[in-house]
Amino acid sequence: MARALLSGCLTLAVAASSLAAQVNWDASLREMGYLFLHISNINVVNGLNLTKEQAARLMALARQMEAVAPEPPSLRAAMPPELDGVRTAWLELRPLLLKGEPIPKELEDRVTLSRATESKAIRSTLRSVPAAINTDCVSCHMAPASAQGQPMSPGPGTKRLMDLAHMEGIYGKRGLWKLLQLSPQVEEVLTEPQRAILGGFACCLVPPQSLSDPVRAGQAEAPEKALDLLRRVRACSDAFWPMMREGILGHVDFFTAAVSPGADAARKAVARDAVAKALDRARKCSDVEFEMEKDALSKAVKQAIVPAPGEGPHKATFFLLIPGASRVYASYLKRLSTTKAE
Amino acid sequence: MNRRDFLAEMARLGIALEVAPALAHAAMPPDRGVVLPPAEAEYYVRNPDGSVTCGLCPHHEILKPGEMGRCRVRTNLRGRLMTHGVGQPCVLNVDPIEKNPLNHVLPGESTLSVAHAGCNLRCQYCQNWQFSQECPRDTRNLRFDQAEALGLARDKDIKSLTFTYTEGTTHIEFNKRLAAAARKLGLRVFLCSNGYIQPKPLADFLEVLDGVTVTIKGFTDDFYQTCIGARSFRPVLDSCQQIRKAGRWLEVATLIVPALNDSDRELADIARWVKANLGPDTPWHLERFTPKFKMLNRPQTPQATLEKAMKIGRSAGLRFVYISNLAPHDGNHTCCPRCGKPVIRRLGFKVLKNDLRAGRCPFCRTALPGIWA
Repeated sequence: MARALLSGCLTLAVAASSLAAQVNWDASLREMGYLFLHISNINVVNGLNLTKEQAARLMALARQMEAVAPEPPSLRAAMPPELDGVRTAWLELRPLLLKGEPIPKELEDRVTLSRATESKAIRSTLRSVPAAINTDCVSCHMAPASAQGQPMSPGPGTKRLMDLAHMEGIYGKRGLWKLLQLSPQVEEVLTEPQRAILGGFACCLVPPQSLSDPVRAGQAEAPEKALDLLRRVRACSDAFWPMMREGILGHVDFFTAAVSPGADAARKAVARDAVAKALDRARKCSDVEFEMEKDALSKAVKQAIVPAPGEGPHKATFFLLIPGASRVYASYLKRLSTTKAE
Repeated sequence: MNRRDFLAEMARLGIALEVAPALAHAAMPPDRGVVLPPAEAEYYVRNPDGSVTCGLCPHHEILKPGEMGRCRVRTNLRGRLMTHGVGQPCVLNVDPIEKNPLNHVLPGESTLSVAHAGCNLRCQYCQNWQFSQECPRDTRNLRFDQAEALGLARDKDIKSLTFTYTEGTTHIEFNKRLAAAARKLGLRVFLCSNGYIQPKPLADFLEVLDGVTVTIKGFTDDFYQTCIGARSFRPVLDSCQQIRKAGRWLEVATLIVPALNDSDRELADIARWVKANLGPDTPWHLERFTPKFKMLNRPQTPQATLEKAMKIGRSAGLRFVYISNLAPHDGNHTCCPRCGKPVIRRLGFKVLKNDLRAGRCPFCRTALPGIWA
């Protein structure tokens, strides 16, 4: 009996240690980063309202890219426990987006929370200074066990190199060269309005379903949430306002860090001040003033936390040819033919 | 941060956002703005038995004392027809003018949208039912200062005012006054209407309007009776003709609902009627249906249906047919009817590029109809 118990314990110990060994932090980060971009790719493809011909041409270009870029991650690798649930939620989202089906509220909430969890996990592993500028994720994100979670404030030059390293991590060196080469062809496939959409696009997981602005094209603009906050701020009585103001500003740091894992104290202070200014203005406005300024104030709140997406010369190609995109186009074309048949 | 810390953080945020205002509300009465007393309406006849006959829209309602009209705006109070919520809009917004939809009016400019609660129709798919299907007493209305709103509009270089979102004719008395004041300040005034109105009030309203968008929702009485809440669509056509005869700018729109008003025949009937009675230069907007209000059981209008409708419109001889609520799409652009080149490129309601030169195509110098400056 004792021998059997000992043998069982040993088996469990070996299994646990082998499981721990299987978690490769670098691979986990790469997988989560890829999945985020892959879902953003699905959203932008859905939102561009591509014609059959455009989708077919982009699929051919995506295949050219896939021939030289690294294989997309398997999305089945062992994950640290804090990221495992995140990946599960995102993988549940993916087939619904591919089929163009509505996202249940419960899943949407879970995905939103999981994004904050993922961001927090990544932020907590940041080094204050990159160990090296290369495509190894661990150069900037140390393993969770030894992490201290320091804010990172790279200079503009280092930031650019880090952006490049992130891109190279997905596309590989040869893929990046191919991206430059295919960029004119991608631009040529797109119409002017589609190029305009891509110019303002930033990564997003759950696109809004809104009629108020049908051109939001897979983009989580979410000014409604900021507007809702401003309406609550206006409805608050003078007696409770200082408490509410403090409560909101206290959480601006939390959201800033969730959106920008590397945000330092200065960046957080700027965000807090901008939000405070918008909140105070919203309280001071008359009804008429507020209704006429509400969009600008909502945008101010949102942009204080989420910086406006940058515009690069090859941004469209980056989002449209992410390795694995050919399967997204295939799925889109299948859906298009079904809809046409109806 | 572990899961527990995260949840605790979220809970604290919840308290800040939810509980504090709730406590504040508990301590104070709910804020519904200033509730003004109802004001006497125009366009009605008092009957000897104390009832009144409303003459605003083709419903011709006879209301006994205490009864409210279908519009939920006008009530018989002791033998007088009174309007609720006068001068208390529930929506005030700065919108792109293309949202109305008005594609041949001041492209790319903003308009000050104003809406009071209420509508005389009951479209089962209404996109603004939260306001249109309510009495102004039940919506949260604004403390509206007309001079402040118009002054701010002028300061912000907003060039027009539009009565939209709900049916602007149900508050015709106040809206006429607001429109006149706006025009005095140099703003243009537009109305987005269902066109279900009697000729006399429409004629009065047109005196202070620069243009109108009318929704021709279908082309059969059956559709209007089952889905719209009106006996016939004929009064809508009469309104369109009256607006055209009055020399005001007119655009028409049709929201295409799958299996209800999307047959080739019905769409061709609308297009042919518009061309014959309003002219081939009348812009026709084909709007995509999205399940809303009481019509949640139907799918969104397929893109192919909208494209088919666009072809039907063009084949009927209409020179400006647009696709709305679907973007990006080539049907968003304004194309020169002569050379076919896009002269105003749009992304939904947003103007990306306006190549028109003094209302003319820059490529072939053809003049395009509209209010361009």
